[in-house]
Formats: sequence, structure tokens, C-alpha cells
Amino acid sequence: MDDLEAWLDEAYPRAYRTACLVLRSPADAEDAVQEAFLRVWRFRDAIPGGDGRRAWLYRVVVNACLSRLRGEKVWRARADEEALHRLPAASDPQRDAEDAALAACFSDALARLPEHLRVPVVLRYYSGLPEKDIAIAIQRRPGTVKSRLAEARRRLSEDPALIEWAGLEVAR
Amino acid sequence: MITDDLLERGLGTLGDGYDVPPHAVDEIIAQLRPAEATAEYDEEPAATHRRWPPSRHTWLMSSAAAVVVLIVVAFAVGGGGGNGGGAGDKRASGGNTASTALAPGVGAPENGGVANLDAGGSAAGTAGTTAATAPRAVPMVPARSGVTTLSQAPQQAQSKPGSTIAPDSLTKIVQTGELDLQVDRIKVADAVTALTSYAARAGGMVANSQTVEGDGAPSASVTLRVPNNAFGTVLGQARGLGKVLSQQTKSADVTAQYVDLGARIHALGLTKATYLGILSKATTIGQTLSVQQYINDVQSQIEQLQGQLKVLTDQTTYATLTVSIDQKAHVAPAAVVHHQSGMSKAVHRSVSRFVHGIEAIIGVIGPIVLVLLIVALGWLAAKVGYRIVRRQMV
Repeated sequence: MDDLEAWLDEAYPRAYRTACLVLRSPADAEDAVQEAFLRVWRFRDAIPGGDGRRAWLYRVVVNACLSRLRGEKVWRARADEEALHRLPAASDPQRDAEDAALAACFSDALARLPEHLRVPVVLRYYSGLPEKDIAIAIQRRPGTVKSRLAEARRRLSEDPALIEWAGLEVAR
Repeated sequence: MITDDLLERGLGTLGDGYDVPPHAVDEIIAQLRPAEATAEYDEEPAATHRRWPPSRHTWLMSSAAAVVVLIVVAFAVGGGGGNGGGAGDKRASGGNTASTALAPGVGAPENGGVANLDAGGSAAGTAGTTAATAPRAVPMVPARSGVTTLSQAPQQAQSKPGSTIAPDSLTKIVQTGELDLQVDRIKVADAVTALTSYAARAGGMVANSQTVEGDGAPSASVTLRVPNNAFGTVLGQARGLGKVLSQQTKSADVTAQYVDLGARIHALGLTKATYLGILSKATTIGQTLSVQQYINDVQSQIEQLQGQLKVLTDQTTYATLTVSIDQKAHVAPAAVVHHQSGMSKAVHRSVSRFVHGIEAIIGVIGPIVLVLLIVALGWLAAKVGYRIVRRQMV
């Protein structure tokens, strides 16, 4: 039991921020992760061992997030203004400004991605899950994950906010 | 194309910008502790977190309740129909048969049978001329030679006052009657003419007629088809022509049989439509021929049932009254009633019950198979549903 508590304690920050990126609402993300962790606890006997444990946890977290997205439509209803004000204070003002701009661009671009593309992107590039674990988390085949990631990258490449940010980067 | 590094950097910056709420994980873990969780569920069973998925016991109880409901529904639909059909069969086979026998001077026939005075048959030996006419032809004009011709088209059934049976639109009754008359004041030919007139006025027709005139006393046998609701009227008029030697009337409710035929025709029609739909999608000659064969079979069944329905409709629209007429001078011998021996009756009864038993078993198999099928599907759906719910929950 202590081992499980320690594991959840360790996994919470990353899971919470993943939920924030998916839901774009810290309050909803907190509720979703709480719900997910309660489910994990209830089904603790079904937790796989080894590397599969992390994918299994994200599967529960993603399901909780999707339940909220589909049930409450929080994605369309909530703005992401507060997320930008929560950016960590950086020691380098220049770097801080660049990160803020980058986060703002990604926030807008992520908002324009549909749910079925946004979740794999977040799991891949924020949570750091490999494609096979993403497949477990979203309960799709690895081939589907690969194609969705490719589609998400294509759309992000064509997103005006990111194109604008890339232009600024080139100018710098 | 956007690079992976840029995506990781951008999402990392955006994601890490979210502050993790302090003590949130501690609160969750505090909730997870068994003692607290148990207390929470004990105090507020309908709190924020539902008890889902249900326990195995709950699943079993729910499945059992669903199966019971399905069985009740299946019996209400399939079993009820079977019982109705059975009842209808019984009614059709005489359960609702009204039979009267009147045989003055002859004696009441045993077992509700008919004291049959076969005037035509007895007169046939003396052999005058005999005319048999087709049903629904024309009214008869008896000739002196004894040959009877028919010359009037049938008329449609119509309501007449004084009818003995006024069934509602759903009830289908088959009425038949036999009447033996002995005429004295009028001739047999005149009696036949009068009967023809009665049938025509009631909207009916003469279906068959035989007149025998020879050395002996003349006799005739006339079969009238009259509208069901005019049956009693015509019967009463016919009785007034002479002395009634015997009379028997029967009425049988064939509503269930009628409805069953209609339903089967409808179902086969739907099947045929389905096959036609499949036929339209057939792409090869083999497929077309195969489906066409199915359609032909179904069409054959439909036509067969439609024929039965047509006969039944005719029987329920027109009642049949057979009148045998003898001149008074001729005393017809009493009909020989063949009595079955006790052993013969027992054998006949045994065979009949055996057949009915087989029919009952076949009738029960259908609902049982349906129930088993529904139970199997319910069990499968519950199992799949439980797995899906469990997967979604996890």
C-alpha cells in the first residue's frame, strides 16, 4: 500500500499537468486526476507491473479527462487565460519572455487541435510516453497513434500561431 | 513540418506552467486509506463517487432479474399467441360448435349426430333424371323432366333483418345446416323454386341442386349459400315449406384460424420483400438464381395460404344450408347410423390425443427456443457490457 501511495505521489505532478493540457482548466484537471487516482486505487489489483504501469495510469487519467471533456464540454467553455499567468518565474527575463510567447502560441494551437489529436500529442511530447504506451492509454492501435501524431504535427505546422512564433524565432 | 524538439519544448513550457496544487495528492491519498474510504461509503453511499462498477453479486442479481423479465415478455408475446391459436383451433374444431338435432318421427340421433334422411340417394335407385349444378351459378328453374337448370348470378352478401348471428367485424363464424323436409301441400319442384327464391332474396345463391323424379315419389336436395347473417331467416323460411323431419345446424368460430392465416401471409410477404431487396443487390447469376429460388418458394407458400384464406373467407361470408325434400307419399327409411364400437372409439380417441399431444409439443418448442435465445443474448450482452464498463472504468 505504501508503495502504491509513493508511486501516486510521484506520478501526480506529471499526471496533473497532462490533464491540464488536455482539459486546459486546472480546476477540472485537479478533479479529473483525483477521480483517476481513486479509480486506480479501487482497481489496484489490476495494475500491471513493470513499464506497463505508467501507460495504465495515463489510460485512467485520459479516460477521466475525456469523460469530462465529453460530458461537460469544458474545452469549449473555458478559456486558458489563467494558464499563461501560471508560468514559472525564470531567472532569465529573455528566456522567460520567449517561453511565455511559446506557451501562448502552443496554447492557441493546442486549442485548435481536435480532442483525438490533442491527447496523443500531449502524451507523446509532454508526458513522454512512447507510441505503444499511448496506444494503451487511448485504447487504440499503435498504427492509429502513429497516424494521429503525424496528422497532429501536420496541423500544428500549419497553425498560424506557431507559424508566427517560428517567424519571430527566425528574426531572433 | 514542426520538429519534435519544438513540440517538446513548447508543450513542456506550457505544461510546466501549471502549478501543482499543494497537498492535493496528500488529500487524495488520505481519501484512499481504507478506514476513511469505508467510513465515507458507510455514511454517504450516494456521495460524489458512485459505487461503480457494481459487485459481482449485483451483476448476477441484475442479470437474473433481466432474464425473468425477458421470459415473462417472451411468454406474453410468443406463449400468449400460441395459447390463442390453440384455443382458436379448439373452437374451430368444434369447441364452440352449436349443434341442434331435431328428428321427429325418427328419434334423436346418438352422440349429437344427424338422423340423415338420404332422400336423394333413395330416389336415385328409381332413377329419374338427375342434375348436378355448379356452385354460384344461376337460380334454378325446375323442369318437368326433372332436369334442373340454373340461370341467375350470385349476389353479394348483405345484411338482412332477423338474422340469427350478428358477429362483430373481427369474429369469423362458419355456419352450416342440414334440413330434411317432407312436403305435402306443394310439389317438390315448387319447394325447390321457393328455396331458390329465399336464397336470392337474402343475397345468396344456389350452390348445388339435385332433383329426382321417376316412378317413385320425387325428391330433391338443394344446397344454398346465403349470407351468414341471413342464415336464420332462410332456415326459418325453409322450415315453413313442409314438415321438418330433421334439422341440424352448426356454427364454428374460426377467428383464430383466420387471424393466423393473415399473420402468416403478412410475415411471408415481409420475407419476400427482404429477398427481393437481396435480389436487387445480387451481382452474379448464381446469386440471382439462388435468391430467386427462395422467392419462388415463399411466393408458393403465400399463394397456398391465400387460397386457404379465400376459402375460409367464403365460408365465413356465406353460410351453407343443405335442404333435402321428399314428397309425403314417400316415407324415407331411416338412415343407418354407424355406431362405432368401444374399442374403435378408444383407438380413435387415442390417435386423436396423440396428434394433439404432438401439436402441443411443437407449439411449446417455439417459445422455449425463443426464450433460450433471448437468455443467451442477454447473458452475452451483460458479459460484453460488463467488460466494456470495466475497461472504461479502468
